[in-house]
Amino acid sequence: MGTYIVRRVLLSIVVLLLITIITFLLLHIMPGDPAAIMLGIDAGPEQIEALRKELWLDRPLVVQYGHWLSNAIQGDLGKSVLYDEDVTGFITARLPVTMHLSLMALVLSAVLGVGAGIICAIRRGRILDSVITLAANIGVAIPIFWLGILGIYSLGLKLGWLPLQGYTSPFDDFWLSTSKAIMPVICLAIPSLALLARQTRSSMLEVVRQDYIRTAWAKGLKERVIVLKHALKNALIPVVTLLGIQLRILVGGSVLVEKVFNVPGMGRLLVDSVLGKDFIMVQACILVIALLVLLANLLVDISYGWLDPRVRYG
Amino acid sequence: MQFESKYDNRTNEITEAPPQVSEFRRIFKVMSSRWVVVFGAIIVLLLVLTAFLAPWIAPYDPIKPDLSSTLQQPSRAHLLGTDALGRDVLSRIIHGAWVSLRVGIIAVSIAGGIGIILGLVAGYFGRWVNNIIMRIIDAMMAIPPLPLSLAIAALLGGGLTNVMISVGISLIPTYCRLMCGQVLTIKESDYITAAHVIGASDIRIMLRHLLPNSFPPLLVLITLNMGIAILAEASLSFLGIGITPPAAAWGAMVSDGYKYLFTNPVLSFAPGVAVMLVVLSFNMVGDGLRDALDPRLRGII
Repeated sequence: MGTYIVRRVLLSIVVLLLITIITFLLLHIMPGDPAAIMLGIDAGPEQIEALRKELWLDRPLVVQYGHWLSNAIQGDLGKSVLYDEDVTGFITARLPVTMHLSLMALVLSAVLGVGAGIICAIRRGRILDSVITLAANIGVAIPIFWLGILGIYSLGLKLGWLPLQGYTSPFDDFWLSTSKAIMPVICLAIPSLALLARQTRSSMLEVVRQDYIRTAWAKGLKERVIVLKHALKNALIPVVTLLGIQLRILVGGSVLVEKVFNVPGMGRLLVDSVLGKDFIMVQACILVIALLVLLANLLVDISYGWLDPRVRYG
Repeated sequence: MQFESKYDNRTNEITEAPPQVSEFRRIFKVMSSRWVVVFGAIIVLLLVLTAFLAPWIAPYDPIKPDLSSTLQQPSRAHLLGTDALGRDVLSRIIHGAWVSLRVGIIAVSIAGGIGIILGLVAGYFGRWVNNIIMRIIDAMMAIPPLPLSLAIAALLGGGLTNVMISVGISLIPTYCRLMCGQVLTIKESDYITAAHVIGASDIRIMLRHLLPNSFPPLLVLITLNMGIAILAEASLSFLGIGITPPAAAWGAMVSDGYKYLFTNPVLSFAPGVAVMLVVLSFNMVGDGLRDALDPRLRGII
């Protein structure tokens, strides 16, 4: 187990370096001078020259990368072009909001998704299975920004049950925060919930065909024990891998959901910076998001090795 | 004499093997046995027809403003109402089909082309080539597709072409991984060894043997990715990247209609339904194809 963890960590460091190279190069796929594009047409040549100096754009690419990386490691991701303030401050203010909603969505989708998957597998071919499977297929295909608007219209405008938009920190006002979070969290959770339900269903169906499940039936165990103790434990292994992918989906979805519900999180920050041509901020957001996903994947890989010894020695 | 041989053939057929069905007909049979797959196929067909016939079947001009009839509710003249500039929503949805389909096809071609080549090379040469390519793919996988394509499209300068490129780039990793996995398995087959022995070149083995034999799962992925790409384009145009304003794209229509949610909810509901139906249909056809092509199910059906 020790060598397995060390191997995974080393691999992650390599991938991390590649991520920094990709995000660094993002700024240079721009057609033209990044400084001029970011400052817009109103900027004078002195301003553009100053920004070029600040970003080290006048030096060779490798030197620029080294400078940028060493700053990034020290927590300095550059200065926002729009607000003329440190990018890091914006991100540390926005990140907790996105993490709050995403974690709630993760828990919701894991509990409901796995549960729905189990029900489908037990009731295979019955009406309930068909209904849930169809719902899961729709859930994967639904545009969540549209689902959010539908929710705002029906639950907010027409029925008046939930606040329309916005975000409140749970530490300020827990109930208001929760009622504001309900719709965004559901919208975020739907695609990953649907994916988890589908994955759980198919891996449960795979597992119940195994010999040891037949043995468990033959020795007269109860259905509940077989399903929850024998089958689920092994069926969950591929589901756990999917959890790493979940964070990708959730963070990706937060870009849309935060825009629809006007939530001041990372996703909203990314969209606003993209539209405001604040590409230093865009670069920083992408880097932070990628870091988080990488870290989550590392944790998933390690727990995967712990759950399934075959992976460790493979 | 002729009669006899015919008779022999028939007994052979009956006693030895089930009647030979062409692969195409078998796949068709398996797929048409599930109603959701048939439904999906019909919608995909409708999408293609609508996209190509848009100028002829759309009742109104999708771009020209008509300020005498702005924000009308659905009626017989305008089945889905009109938007803030008086343009017929149904006509704009019909014209939006072409945008969606085009983005889907081009993005998937870009992703498939690059991803399949990278996966093929990584899987075939193995060792350090595999390591380098797959670690780069890992790094790309760490950036969620939507933020990645959002950033790339914006940095390239926006516009529909750049959206196609950026969505294409964000879809590369899955092709590369699938292809690499396929090649690693097929590489061990006897006929690949045989090809090596008779002196076939690397390029020939890759293109003539490895690529065709890993085609079935690729076809499934391509179908599923059409839906994903269309959803991604809708998301990006909802966020305001991609389509240039007067032209119609489903995502941008949802976003435009959002401002009039209280009075004219149809404005943003209708294009969203179109996105959902199309994405769902591609997914269903992809699932059906997977069932039909999955060797493990072969013989059962």
